[in-house]
Amino acid sequence: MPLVARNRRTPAITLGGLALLLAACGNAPPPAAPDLPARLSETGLFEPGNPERLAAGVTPYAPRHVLWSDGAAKRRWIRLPAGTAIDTSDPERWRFPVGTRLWKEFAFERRVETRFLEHVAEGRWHFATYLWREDGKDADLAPEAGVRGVRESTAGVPYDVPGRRDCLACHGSGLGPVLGYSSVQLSDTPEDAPLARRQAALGYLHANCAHCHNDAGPLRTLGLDLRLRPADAGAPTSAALTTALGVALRQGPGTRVVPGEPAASAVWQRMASRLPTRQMPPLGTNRVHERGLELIAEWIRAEGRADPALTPPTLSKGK
Amino acid sequence: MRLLLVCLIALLGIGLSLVLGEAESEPGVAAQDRVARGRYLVKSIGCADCHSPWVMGPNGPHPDPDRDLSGHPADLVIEAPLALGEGPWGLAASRTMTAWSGPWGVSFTRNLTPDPETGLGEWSEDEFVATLRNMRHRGIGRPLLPPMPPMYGQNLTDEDLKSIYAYLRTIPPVKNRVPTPLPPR
Repeated sequence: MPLVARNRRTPAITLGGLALLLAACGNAPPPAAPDLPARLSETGLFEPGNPERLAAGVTPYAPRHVLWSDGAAKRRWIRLPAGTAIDTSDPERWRFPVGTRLWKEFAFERRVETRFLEHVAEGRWHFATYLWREDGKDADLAPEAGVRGVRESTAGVPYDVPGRRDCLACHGSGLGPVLGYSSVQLSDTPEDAPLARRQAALGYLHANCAHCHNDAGPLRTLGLDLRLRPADAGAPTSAALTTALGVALRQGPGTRVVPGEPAASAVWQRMASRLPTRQMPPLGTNRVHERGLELIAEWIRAEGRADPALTPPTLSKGK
Repeated sequence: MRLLLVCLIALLGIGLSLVLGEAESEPGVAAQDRVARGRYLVKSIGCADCHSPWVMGPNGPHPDPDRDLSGHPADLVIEAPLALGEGPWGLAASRTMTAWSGPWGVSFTRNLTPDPETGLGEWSEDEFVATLRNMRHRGIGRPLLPPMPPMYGQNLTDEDLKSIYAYLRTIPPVKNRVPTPLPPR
């Protein structure tokens, strides 16, 4: 019986295959655990004894471009220490005051986990996740190695809680520890409809890929920069366009994005796969995001049409 | 008195220069030690067992010294996993010991030489250590595949892993582009 659900694009991985794979992929013990609160109630998210009531100073927020998490319903909150503010002088890299805390809740019908980031000292952040109890009254610190298959996101597809090392794979790879609270993620959508469509696609790549594929982290040598910048607004100079459209893969035959041909584009192929050796993103998801895939396919088709509407009005003036 | 002062200053200067000189030479010595320890580790834990292609010699098969740690040879093309069928057998290896077929598909051992295009040339020390620690490609990507053992990243110290990296920077670069893994049937 397949352990990972078969979909129309990816073959199933048998139990034996997955067991062998996981045996080889057993994570090393993460570094010594920092002094993390044992329960979510101790992190200051909600009022004591009442998880339905946010603590004073805790503010909900929602990013414009969302990371796909196998369909989890997500809520997010931030709390800054009283009397402090975020230093936004560099719009590409906001600096958060020491003491900043952020939470992100993942739910499948009921709360499953809440992830927690805390800026404990200048440049030093703690990462933790808490598993909700069945009664929903509190959540307990998850094991450092994470928990595989803590729940199913849909029938037959396990939902995994990441380990601390996997937290750092995304939150420590170039864009800074806070990914969903930034100038790009809190900005408005362009009014121009075609631009908005391109921006939505580039925003999707930003939220789902750019935490690793950027020009600052360990993968910068690949030269694939899917980071959306505040000034981009879908302009043809966006790094995601200049480093992906028509650019050959560094290893093996193929092209990152073939304008007009989603199925021939490596970005689309990787998104459409959930084979552990091929899938993108490589962690945090066991299900293809069909709507996200269609969004990227539509964008790739539009780039192939050389749709003049995709040229920003500011650049087409005077023609 | 003046002579004594001059002598004292001179002695202080010599002493300082000795101390500073020693401190400056330490990193060089440490780097040599690191390469030697890395060589010892690579030879002892058997990296070449899979990362060097094996050839047949008069005394039987052995890793090819001309292609030391250069991974699966690109000219040995493998297009699909072996169909093992029913029975007790679960995996198979190529005669070179560099391609492994199993339920996960086919894995090809990586080129560990410092070739900038096809080896570890552009990998940083941090990436190398993270790859073994996290058992993920470049530390953050796809999972590493069987038969790569996880125990090296679990048990070796940071200094051990950095020593292995330091030694791998010193071996001859071999241009050999290893194919990407193949999916299961």
